[in-house]
Amino acid sequence: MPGSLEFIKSATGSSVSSLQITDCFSDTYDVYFVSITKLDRSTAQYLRLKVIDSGGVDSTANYDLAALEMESSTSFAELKNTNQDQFTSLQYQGTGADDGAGLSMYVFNPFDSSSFTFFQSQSVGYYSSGLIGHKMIGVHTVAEQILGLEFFPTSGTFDLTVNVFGVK
Amino acid sequence: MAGSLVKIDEEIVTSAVPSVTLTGIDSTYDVYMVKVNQMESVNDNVNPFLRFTVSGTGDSSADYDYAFKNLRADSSFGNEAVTNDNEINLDNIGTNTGEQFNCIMYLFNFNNASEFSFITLEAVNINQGGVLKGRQGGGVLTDAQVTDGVQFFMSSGNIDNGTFTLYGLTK
Repeated sequence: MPGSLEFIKSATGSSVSSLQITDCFSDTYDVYFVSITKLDRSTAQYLRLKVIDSGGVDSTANYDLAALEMESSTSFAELKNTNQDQFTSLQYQGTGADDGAGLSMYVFNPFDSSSFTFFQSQSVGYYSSGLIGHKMIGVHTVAEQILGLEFFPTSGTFDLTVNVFGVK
Repeated sequence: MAGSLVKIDEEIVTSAVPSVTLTGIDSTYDVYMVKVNQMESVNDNVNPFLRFTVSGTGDSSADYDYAFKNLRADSSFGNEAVTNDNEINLDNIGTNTGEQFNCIMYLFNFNNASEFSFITLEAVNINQGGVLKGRQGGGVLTDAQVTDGVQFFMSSGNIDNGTFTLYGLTK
């Protein structure tokens, strides 16, 4: 029985304030794997996410999120909110030359017009206080087809490479 | 170096069934992955349950231990720490719009007769109260035996919808 993690497309930005990856979802797959393989920032802050639907980037209050923030140098924190206009805290990172980062994410049902779109991700980054990681879950609470994703930092610019795979 | 997922078993539920079983775990791969997408329930306010299978049948012995951090969007996160249960409780779902269960699991040592069988779980769902939740952690069946699959069922009633897929991780 065939089956695989099939590469769909990649997007890369350098010193950009946001990065969109579009036309990456279809009825070929129901679940997608997203990896971020290169990430550097102009300011220390969170990585954020919105979805792209037929009307463009959805910036309405359709996002619920819960994330466990785990730091090597301090106690863990619970990040949670509902009815936001974005996913606010996928990952955190500093601006040091060696402040690397990584993120892996699964996206469930993005192309199913009768279902909400669900997300779960794991990320790690480094900043002036040390290691910081996030385990995040999220849902976009609109039953509609999602066509792509937009990643952006809280402010400033970033360098980013995003890869999308289908889980067949 | 090439590497990929190899699909071993898949069950697509579009009408009510009491359970879903994925089998085919053997010595071919060291690690297996299970994908559950859009699992929905006939009954409201029920728990999706998981058992490991022995020769294709769910093992109902009181030997399941699990520990999860329960992420949720509406209030403080909790811990779910359970020993000697008859199954692994994957959380809660209802029947209103959007209330479904999704997860990715990795399965370890299932084909090893001399060690326990383990899973890691990363889930995201909306519960019967409409709250975004997700269990993150692991579970074990504390019997040193060969297990060859997994079985999903509800705490009461039937599974109404979902796609359940078992993969092997190639080297």
